[in-house]
Amino acid sequence: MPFELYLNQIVSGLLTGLVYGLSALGLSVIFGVVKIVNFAHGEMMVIGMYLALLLFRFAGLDPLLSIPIVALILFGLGYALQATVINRLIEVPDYMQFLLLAGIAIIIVSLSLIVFGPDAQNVQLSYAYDSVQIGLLIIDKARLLAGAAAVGVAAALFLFFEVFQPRDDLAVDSVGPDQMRVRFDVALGDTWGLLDDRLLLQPSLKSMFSFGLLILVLIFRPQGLLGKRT
Amino acid sequence: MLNLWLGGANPRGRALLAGMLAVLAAAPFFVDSYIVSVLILVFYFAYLGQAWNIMMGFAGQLSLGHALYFGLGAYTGAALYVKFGLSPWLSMPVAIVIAMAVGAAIGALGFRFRIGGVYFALLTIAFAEFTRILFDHFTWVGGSSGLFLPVASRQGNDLWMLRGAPIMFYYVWLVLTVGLLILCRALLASRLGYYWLAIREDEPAAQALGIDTFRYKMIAVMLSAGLTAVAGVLNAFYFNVLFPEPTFSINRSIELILGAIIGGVGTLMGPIIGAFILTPLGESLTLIIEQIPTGVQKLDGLKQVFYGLCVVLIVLFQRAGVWPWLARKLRLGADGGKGGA
Repeated sequence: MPFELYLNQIVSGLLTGLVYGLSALGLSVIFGVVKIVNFAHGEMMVIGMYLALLLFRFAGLDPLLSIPIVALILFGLGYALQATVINRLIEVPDYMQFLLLAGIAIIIVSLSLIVFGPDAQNVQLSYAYDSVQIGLLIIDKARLLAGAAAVGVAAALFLFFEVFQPRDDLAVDSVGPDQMRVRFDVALGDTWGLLDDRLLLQPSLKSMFSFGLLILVLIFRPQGLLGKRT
Repeated sequence: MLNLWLGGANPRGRALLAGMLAVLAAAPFFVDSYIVSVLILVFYFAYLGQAWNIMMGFAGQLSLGHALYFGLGAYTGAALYVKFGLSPWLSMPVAIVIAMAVGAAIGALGFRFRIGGVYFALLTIAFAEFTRILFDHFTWVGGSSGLFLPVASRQGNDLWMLRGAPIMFYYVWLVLTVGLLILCRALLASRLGYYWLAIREDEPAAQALGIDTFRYKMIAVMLSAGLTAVAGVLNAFYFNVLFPEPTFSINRSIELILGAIIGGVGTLMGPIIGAFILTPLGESLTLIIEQIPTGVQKLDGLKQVFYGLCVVLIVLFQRAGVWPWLARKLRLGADGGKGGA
């Protein structure tokens, strides 16, 4: 019994990890291209989640289907942010960029609090409690779909970079498409966040472990677990 | 002492400062309790911004996890009072030592392993968040259900135990804020202050000049942490209630540096001016919202939106902060915060 339990936990954790991984990939692309740490990344993801929520409530659209719409809207938002604010930050000291994006993050969170209130919202999908059985494994259908969508978008991103080989002199110009990509994961994140709000109920000690890991990585491998030492 | 403090300002500046201090010292006798509570909030922003400024403004090390030191101070003071009936003035040294030790640990890790800039800031956030969750499960001090200080219905004000009316807290905050301003003024005029500015402007050059940069950065972090913890203790006794989430969260870390950012990072008067701009505007916004009958509850987050907007506007249009600009306008002479630079 316990073995099955562990196996199911691991698989469900991996599926969650795929979505988080995609979101982190978005952060990484922004940092790689414009050298700006998008401190408001998670908050932009929240916008994506609420958009998906609205599309579900008022248009009955499955979050998986609303991905392109949400992605497009956030592409526009990201583009506007880039054009009005981020471009002015190129010459600014690092800590100022950090603070500015933290300010934007506060604005987004507080505005969504005003608009949507403090209570958790969710999407009542018909298949919210369905699961797929593969041998010993019992996987949430919603989780599986979110994970698959994350892999799909990540694959599309890598393909994008294969086709449009980024050149150094184009670094700043290519921000648009990259922002677009980031918005894809935003849309994806939303799918995830809405499909499984049970995540919120899990013991918070888990996230303490995550922060502990982050501290260790920052100290011993600041280039990241897989990065090359410069 | 007074001479040392006023050394950088011209006669106009001295007169203004003395006038401001006199008004603040007399204010509780003339204004109502609401204004007193707003002014306490002003001191809160001014003091904490100043404490953070030592690390960022003087030594150039960005911390976005100062809620950690604030929270450690708050919990140390509150726990020692609730469990052992210890006076906050006796628990303050304990809180300072704890915060300095934690600051030293983070600083040592960050500086020894050469974690710079954004990554150092991330490290400070990670430690603060780690501690927040730790305190959620630290049941001895109440865990996530909070720690409450008994509010004794005593007659008069007990300064020794910090139990009493807001006016008592007002004067404690005022003394601390002015004291910290004097301390920072002295620090900047000292050899230590010049080392910090050298490190802030160009660390490799400072090192090449023979400055032990590791040592002086450590001093900045520990001083800043200890001073922040003092405010934590005071705040816990003022509000009488502590929860891990609002005490240690990143929002707190951002909040307590707002005054310094808006007033001017690296200046002496910046955090104070910033606090005086930020708080009354934020509060009047809240008042206006309360006038709108339908929006009372829904517009709760509007003050935060305003704070965020302030940061964005400052970074975009007045990067050095309001104070340098204001000082020029009022012809107050050099702030001294730039250490003669």
